[in-house]
Amino acid sequence: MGMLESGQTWSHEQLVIDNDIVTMVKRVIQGIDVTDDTMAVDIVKQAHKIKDFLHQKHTIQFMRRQSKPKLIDRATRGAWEAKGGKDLTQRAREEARRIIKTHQPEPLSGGVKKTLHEIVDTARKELVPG
Amino acid sequence: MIRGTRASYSQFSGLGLTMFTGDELAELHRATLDVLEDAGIMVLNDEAQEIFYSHGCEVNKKANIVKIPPYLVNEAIRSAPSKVLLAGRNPKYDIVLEGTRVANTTFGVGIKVLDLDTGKHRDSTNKDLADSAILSDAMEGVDVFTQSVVPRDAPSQVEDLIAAETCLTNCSKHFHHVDILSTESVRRYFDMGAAIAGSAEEMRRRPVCSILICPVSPLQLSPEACEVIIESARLGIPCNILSMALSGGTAPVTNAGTLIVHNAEVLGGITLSQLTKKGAPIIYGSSTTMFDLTLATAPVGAPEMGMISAAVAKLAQYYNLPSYVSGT
Repeated sequence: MGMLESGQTWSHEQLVIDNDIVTMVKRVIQGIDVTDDTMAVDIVKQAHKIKDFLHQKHTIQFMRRQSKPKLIDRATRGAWEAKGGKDLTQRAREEARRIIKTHQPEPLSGGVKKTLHEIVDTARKELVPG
Repeated sequence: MIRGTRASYSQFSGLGLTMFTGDELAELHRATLDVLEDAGIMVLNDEAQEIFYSHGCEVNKKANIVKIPPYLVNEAIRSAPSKVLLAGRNPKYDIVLEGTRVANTTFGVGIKVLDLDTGKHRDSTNKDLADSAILSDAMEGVDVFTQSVVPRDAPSQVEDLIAAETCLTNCSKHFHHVDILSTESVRRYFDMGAAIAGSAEEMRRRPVCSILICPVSPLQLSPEACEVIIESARLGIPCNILSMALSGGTAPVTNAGTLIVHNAEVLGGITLSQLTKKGAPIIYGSSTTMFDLTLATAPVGAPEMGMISAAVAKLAQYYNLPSYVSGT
C-alpha cells in the first residue's frame, strides 16, 4: 500500500487510495454466506406483493454488510460535478493533507520517548564521526 | 415461516484462491530440498557457517557453500511457530499471523516520494516517514505499518534507528522495520521495543516491532542477513525472511522455477534461525516478481507477482508458517 514505481517512490495520496481498495478487498475475501437469514426466502416470496426491498426490515438489518468506500465516488456524474468534479487523486491529496494535519496518534509516554531518543543518541555518538 | 435447525451443514467461509494440489505442493517442497542438499546455499558469515556445520551440514569454507540435509530443513519448518503475534503499541491493533488469516500493510521501502504539496519527485526525508506513519495510524485498511521510506536526510550510520524512533513515535500499530542490517542494530532496535513493551520479557511476549531481512538471489545469505537472522532468533524478535527473486533475472524465467529459488532461500534462512534457537518467531516472506527482460525493470504490479504471492501464501500454509507477501 502507498507505493509507486516498483517500490522506489512513496505517495501519501496512493496510500489513501490503496486504503479504499484494501477495504473493498477485505469485503471480497469474506465471501458470500449461505444461510436462512442471508437467502431471505421469506421476503423473496413476497416480491410480487412488495415490489421492491427498500423498506424491508431485512434490508435495514443487513445493509451495513455492504461495501462503503471512503474516497471512491459512487455518485452519478451530475452529483460528482455538483460537488466540484474533483478526480480521485485530488480527493486523495486533500484527504492525506487533512489527516496528516489533524490526526494525533496515541503518544508514547515521556519516559519511553526519552529512552528511545537515548538509544539513538548513544548510537549516533558511537557511529557518526564528528 | 419456521424452518428446522440444520443438523450438520458444511459451510464455505470466505473467498480465496486455489493454486496447487497437495501433489504439486509436495513436489515443490521436494525439489527445494534437493536444491538445498545438492547445490546448497551460499552463506557469507563465519558464525552462520559454524551453526550450520555444528548441526551436521556440509560446509565448503572456500566457496562459502553450505549443503543442508533435508531432515534439518524439515525440522526447522516444524520447530518454527505456526502463529506469530504482531502486537500493536495499542493492543486494539494486535494482529495474529496464522493459517489463512489476512492482514494488510504498507509497502517498504522507498527512497523517493511524491511531495504532497508540490507534486515534485524528490528524495525521501524523516518528515515524510513521520507523515506516512501518522497517515497509516489513521487508515483502517493498514493493519501493520511497514517502514515506508528511508529518511535520507539522517546520517547513514544511524538512519535505521532514527527511522525506528520516528515510526514507533508516530504510529500506534505494529511496526515492521525493513532496514536493520547488523547485530548491533538488532540489539538497539530490540531495546527500543522493550522500552515500549515495558521489559525484554514483555517484548518477547508482545513484540511491538519486528524485522524484515532479505537473502540475496540466487541462493545467498549475505553477511547482514546472517547477523540479523541469528540475533533476532537469540533475542526473540519476529524476523521476516523475505526473498526477492526475479523471474528471468536472479531466478529461472518460469514461475515454478522462481518459486524454487525463493523457497530455497527462505527455508535456508529459516533453518539458520531455528538452528540458532528452536521456536524463534519467523515469517515466511516474498517480494518475488518477474524481471521484465525487455525493460530491465521489476514491476510489482505484474500478474506474475500476484500469482507468485498467492503461491507463496499456499506454500506457507502447507508448511503451517505465517507468511508476508508483497502486493502493490
